[in-house]
Amino acid sequence: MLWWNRLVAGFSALVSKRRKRAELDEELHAYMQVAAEERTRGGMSEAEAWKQVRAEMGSVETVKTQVNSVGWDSWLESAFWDIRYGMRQLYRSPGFTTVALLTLALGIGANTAVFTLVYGVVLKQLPISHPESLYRVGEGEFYCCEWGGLQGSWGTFDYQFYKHIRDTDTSFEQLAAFSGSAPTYNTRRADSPQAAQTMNGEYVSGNYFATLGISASQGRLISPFDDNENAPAVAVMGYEAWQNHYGADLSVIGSKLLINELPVTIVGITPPGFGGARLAQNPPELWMPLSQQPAFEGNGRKSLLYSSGDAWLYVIGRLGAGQTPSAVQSRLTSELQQWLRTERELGQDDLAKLNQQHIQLTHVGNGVSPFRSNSMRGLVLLSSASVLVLLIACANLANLLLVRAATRRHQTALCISLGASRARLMRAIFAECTLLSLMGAALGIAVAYGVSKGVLLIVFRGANLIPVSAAPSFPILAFTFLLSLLTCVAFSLMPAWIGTQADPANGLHGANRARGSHTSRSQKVLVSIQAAVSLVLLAIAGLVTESLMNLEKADLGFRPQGQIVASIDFKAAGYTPDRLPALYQQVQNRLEQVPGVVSASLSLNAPQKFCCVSMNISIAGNSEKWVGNIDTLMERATPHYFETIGTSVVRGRAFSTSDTQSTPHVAVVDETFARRFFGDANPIGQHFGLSLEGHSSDYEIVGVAKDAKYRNPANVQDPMFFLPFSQTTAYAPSGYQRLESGTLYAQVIEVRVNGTPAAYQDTLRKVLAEIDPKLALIHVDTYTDQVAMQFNQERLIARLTSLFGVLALLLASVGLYGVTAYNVARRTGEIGIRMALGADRANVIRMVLKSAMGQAIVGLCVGLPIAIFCGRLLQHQLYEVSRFDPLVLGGATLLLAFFALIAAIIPARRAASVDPNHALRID
Amino acid sequence: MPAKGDLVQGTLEMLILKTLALQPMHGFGISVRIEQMSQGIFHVIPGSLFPALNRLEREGRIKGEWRSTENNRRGRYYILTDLGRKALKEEMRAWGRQVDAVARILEA
Repeated sequence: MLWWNRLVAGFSALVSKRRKRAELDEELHAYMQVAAEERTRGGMSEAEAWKQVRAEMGSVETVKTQVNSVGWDSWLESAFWDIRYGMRQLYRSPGFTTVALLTLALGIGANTAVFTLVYGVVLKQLPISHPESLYRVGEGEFYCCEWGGLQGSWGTFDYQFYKHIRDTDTSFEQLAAFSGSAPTYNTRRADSPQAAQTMNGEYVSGNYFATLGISASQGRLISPFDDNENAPAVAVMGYEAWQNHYGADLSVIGSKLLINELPVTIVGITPPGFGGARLAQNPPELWMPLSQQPAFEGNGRKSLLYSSGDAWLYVIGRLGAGQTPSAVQSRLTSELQQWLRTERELGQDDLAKLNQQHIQLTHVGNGVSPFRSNSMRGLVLLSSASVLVLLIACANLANLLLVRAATRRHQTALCISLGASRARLMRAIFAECTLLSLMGAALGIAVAYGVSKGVLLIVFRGANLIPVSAAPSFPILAFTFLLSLLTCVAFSLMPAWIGTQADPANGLHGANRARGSHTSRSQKVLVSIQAAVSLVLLAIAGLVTESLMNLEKADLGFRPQGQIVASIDFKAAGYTPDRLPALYQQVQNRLEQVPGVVSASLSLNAPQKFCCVSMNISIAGNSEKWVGNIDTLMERATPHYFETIGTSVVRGRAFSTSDTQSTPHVAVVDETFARRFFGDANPIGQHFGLSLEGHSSDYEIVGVAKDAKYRNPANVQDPMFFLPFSQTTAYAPSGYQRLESGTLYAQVIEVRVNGTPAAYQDTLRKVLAEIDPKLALIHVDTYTDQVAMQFNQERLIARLTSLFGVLALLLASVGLYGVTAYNVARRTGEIGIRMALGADRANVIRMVLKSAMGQAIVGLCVGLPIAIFCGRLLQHQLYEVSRFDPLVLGGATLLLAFFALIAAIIPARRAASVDPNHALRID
Repeated sequence: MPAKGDLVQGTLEMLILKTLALQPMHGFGISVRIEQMSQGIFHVIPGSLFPALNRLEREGRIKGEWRSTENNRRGRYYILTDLGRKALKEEMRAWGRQVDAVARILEA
């Protein structure tokens, strides 16, 4: 109750302030009156009585202040006054305010932009209910193991194992599965002649949506009843796809959609913003029950769904009450080992590795992300760089405040001599700085929005939907707010302390003369720190940029120039494997008839496009064990593939049209393959096959191609072999059989042309539409663009760190300039005396430069070792950049020295043009 | 023994409440009464008295009212509220306990 009374009293004091003050006046006055009367009654003279009363009372104003500062409202009131005072100060020094605001906006903006990225990629939770309690069974981004094989730490599972733990393990309240990959489907409405669209789809278990705890925005979502092989075919459409492809047409719900020509009823629409539990560049737009997978694969009982060993499902769930992740994890691990032992026919090698197989439970409230782990290091780097920029900005502001405090020494001294406490003066400075920070943060949010937008466009170039939003949301605003408060403390603490140290006696004497004060020493230290930090940033920016340039210059082993590349889905267009070879031949021929086209080809993957199917092989006549342990990449291509992509065949021959199913089955291998498996021996004529009993001489090597970089050039590439689409191998029903037929579908078309490749994009689309209108191209790009996209992340980091480096350089230069200019102004009198005593211009310039460059050089000396150290830390992230790069470090040092020189020479020249007569008259 | 004028820390508010328990009084009256009752040991200066009065009033333990004084002038009189009466009882009890405790320690 007491606090309530205090609160109410505070409000009423605020509201009726004027009346309360008047009452207090009157009350105090009455007190003195009565007290004086009392004393005169005791025989004292009136004058003496009043003197005593006044002495007892002390300053009436002080008593009033004491009375008024009893409640919480007094604090509010003085804060209000501080803010008003701060506003006035800022308004009265527009130059200072502008520079400070700009500095803050850039510093805070840089950090907010980076935080927007960090938030979007790492922290943002899925739009589902209670994301914090969503767990994934397994970890990592595996798509390696579709055809059986042990994963070590497991990430994906086959349907049988999922069903087994869902039905037998009681640790989970709900356990759902989804396919994770989002293949494209041709879709069109059954009841309208509208053209087909491509949409990404995903298979999910019946309880998927219930597990996530979301409900439909229209209609209903998939339920366990739908996930049944006898249930009618249904699908759920994503909200955004519904808006974009169907104009939010309500009649879509309940209507039939032909998905890859199979009729499916759309039963509902997801809530807005939902893109599956996996953050992907091309999120699913259609969700279908797992039970429909066989219908789309068209392999009946041999489909993925019924297979054992093909790990294609991600499993997520909610733990039951009282279950701890570590306990569930170990239970699942033993379950998995038991399952592998009984349900799979494992070879000796696999059995030996059985006890290493385990399941890790991971938190996936922020979504299963394919790019999170990759981006982590980059984000750490960017965050550190942006924090450094802010640090420099703070140093700059602290400097400005110190300068201002020095010019206000007189005023401060006056305030202190009039009885202001130091705390009170410091509070006024804090209020002003908080105001500055908050205004700077508001501007910073605008800066950040612009930067993040640009950044996201770079990172997600070529993506359908950008899974990270640049728009400031509540967490980002909160972050910026906190950051601005922190910034305020960082830059105002020292100036507030030093600035209020004025000794009243000294200050009031009005001596504006320079003394070796705290102020100028702290300023010099701040400038040196700025120089050091910006050197570090510049060096990092240099290293990262050099790495990007090396990546872009790297010899990829093929010629992307003069090529266009497109992805396509023949399966979605309804082709069966037996019709494919003829179709490929037709596509290749028709494309090559187009004037200007040099050659055309189709392939399963392509360099820097899709990569790759990883297999183990066996070699005829070589039973050594190491052969089967080497991961080898498999690729399929049409005859003109090598000449189209621009990789030369250095030995033997490429594929030709005469390689058919009935002729000997051939393969081309790359140089790494030849060297790895055959050393110096001639590989032509040798036989190999997949690592499977009885398949070791399936293919005869007929050619050796130069190495080409299919993946990131920074990675060491595995050996690679190429097979023609026209020859297939028969396997016993197994994952291998599915793999074999799966790899017959070409996903990429490459066309080499004369002239500008971009001009051929429409031609390519037209030719394919003429062959079959159902053949829709998914992405068409020039190959150089396609390659550039692969380095998006590296490019982003290089650009942003360079931007931060330049920012740091500018801020540090401004800082040095400000301090030097201030000191020159302060020492005008001294310089005048020196000149009067015979110093010439050169002497003066030298004197000023010596002091300014001294600070810069101290900064460089401190910064260089730190920069070298940072370079070492970064080295594993950089491509072909040496540990110690004298060019980058030297360049950064020179650049900084150059800017420091410019920043110092302007005030130095001004100092040199001081007129001694004038200068000596100042004091 | 505190020197003349010194108040034991934190007791001023209790003393004000006690003074007002007898009858409503204005500021000067309170300070005179405290001085009298303590036989001149405690002397309350305005710089402590008025902030304490304001605090007590804000807490609802006393209530200020303008009345005319004995010499027909306007004066601000303070009246003990029910809350104040309860608080006084509470504080006196606590004070008694403390004094006893201190005494026991000193006598030991």
